[in-house]
Amino acid sequence: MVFILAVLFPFIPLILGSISSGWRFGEILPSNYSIDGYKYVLKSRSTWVGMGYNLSIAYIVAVINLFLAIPAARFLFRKKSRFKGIYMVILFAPLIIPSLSSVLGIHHSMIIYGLTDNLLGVILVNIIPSFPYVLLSLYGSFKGFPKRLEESALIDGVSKFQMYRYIILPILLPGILIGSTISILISLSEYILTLLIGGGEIITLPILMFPYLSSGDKVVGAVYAILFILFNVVGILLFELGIRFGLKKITKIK
Amino acid sequence: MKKLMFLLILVSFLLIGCGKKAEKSKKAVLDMSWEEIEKNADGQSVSITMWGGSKEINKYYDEFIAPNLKKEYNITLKRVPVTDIRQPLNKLVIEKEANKINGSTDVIWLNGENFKFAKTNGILLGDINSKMPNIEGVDPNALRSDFGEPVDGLEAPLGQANFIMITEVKNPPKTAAELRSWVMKNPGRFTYSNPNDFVGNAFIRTLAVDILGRDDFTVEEMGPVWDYLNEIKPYLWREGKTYPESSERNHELFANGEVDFSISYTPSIVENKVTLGEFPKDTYPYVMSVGSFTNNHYLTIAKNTQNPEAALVFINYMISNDPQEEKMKSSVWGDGAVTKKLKEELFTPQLEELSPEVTEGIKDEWYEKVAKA
Repeated sequence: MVFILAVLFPFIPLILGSISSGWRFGEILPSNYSIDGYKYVLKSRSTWVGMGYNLSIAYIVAVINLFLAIPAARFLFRKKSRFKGIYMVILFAPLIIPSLSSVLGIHHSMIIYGLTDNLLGVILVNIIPSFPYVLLSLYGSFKGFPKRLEESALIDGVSKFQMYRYIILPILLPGILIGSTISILISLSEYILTLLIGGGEIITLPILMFPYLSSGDKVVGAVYAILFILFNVVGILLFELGIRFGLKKITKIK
Repeated sequence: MKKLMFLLILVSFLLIGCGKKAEKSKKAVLDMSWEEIEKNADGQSVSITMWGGSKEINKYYDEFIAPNLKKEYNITLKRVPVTDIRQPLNKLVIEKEANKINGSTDVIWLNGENFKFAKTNGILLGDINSKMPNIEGVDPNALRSDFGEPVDGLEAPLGQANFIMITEVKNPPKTAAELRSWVMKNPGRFTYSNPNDFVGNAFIRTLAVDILGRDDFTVEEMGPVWDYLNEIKPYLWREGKTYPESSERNHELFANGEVDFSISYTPSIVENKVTLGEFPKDTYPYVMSVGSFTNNHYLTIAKNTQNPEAALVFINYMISNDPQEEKMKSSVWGDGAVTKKLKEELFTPQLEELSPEVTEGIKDEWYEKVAKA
């Protein structure tokens, strides 16, 4: 009970703020209430368009991240190579290097290759900050995964592809769930990269929300924030259900 | 699994397909006749990149401007909200370096520093004002300079802000000398926001014009102004030890009856806050006798726009009577009009805004010579 209260506590002012009107400094509770903020946000078409873009970008990025990270994590864990340290540094670099600075560096090239002002470019730059987290959670999953399992499967004449499908994927399931959750969280709340590379063509919830939060109308800002929290939770749950269901289908031995 | 791979590759190809926009051969739009521009604009869409933090302003564009633009010119308006207009401007600079001619930014809402930045970096379309028929009806003062930077026809004024004093005191002090004696008679009942805030800065500029007797001074010549502010300091709210950090905070002090004055750049704010019950019923705006600092905010067009015709028709519509009149309503936006027909005569004489150097200089000097003194 105490725990639940502690978790909910920060959201109380947020919820109050979203239904207040003229909540002044120094008042403990707002003196007037109105639901104009909700009316405006839910009636505005861009809110829904933004959520659609948000979700499609986050899901596509999460799937691409998994495709990239599973082989990479396996390689990092299995291979004995002198350069392993260097590979690690390169793959985990985005954890330390701010993604904005690397994107500013390649922005010029992206313009030349026609990767700005469209969805593809936005998806590509969304991979940068989220990939290392997916790799990290999968890397951890390989730890309790005996190599002998893979070897015995290969001796029994399983192809490499089948080994991924029937042995690696089911064992990695927890890592995949954690990794994709973090990936979705990161790309749903990505603001500056989406704005810079999407050039205003791709509108997401954070793009609509941020101007209100920084020196804008705080009531609408609070409404967007609440919507954003719910949207994140629902978006992640849907994806996790999808992944569980999909993996079940894929890894079933006929 | 193989199917999945195939699907993924297919999807990525599709996305690349979406990314390639059909290149339009762009004829120099500024050489066309207005009829031709209107004809080409028919059916185009146009984006406006603007600060997106106000529900009222966003609604004005979404619910009033967009439907009318669609109805009258068959142009689709798309709003791109940003937190800081400098971001899209920086993007345009990078695009210019990369020779990108088909940008996604059409119309931009800006003024002052940002206009200067855009002008110096050469990312604006060109002299659009001489093209638009409705520029005739616009107040010529707004077409000359934007915070000391010559407009050169590169941007069209959309609205106006005036520096005003707000009070419910009868016979308010209108000169620096009158203000000094009022403040000394009523200790603790006056304050002004910190000049880091644009409005507080304008208050100091207004006093400076009064005290120095001219409006072409440099920051170095402002000695008498600092003396004056130090003289009234002990009689201010909280003995001048602290200042409201923003004009919003100043309005709160006024609303709570802690002080008798507030300052603003938006004259319509008074009517708004009285209606909301925040300000006392008899509150009214007035102007110091030296005049009121007036500035405009503008619409301009990016050089690499793909819809120059629609952008021109859109801006030309924005400076016509209906949108200007709608914008003035305090329930809608409460922004000052720029058309001669609607211009408020209340806020005269008007003072030209000083250069950014003075505005910036006041921040540091005030901190050194008044706040810390």
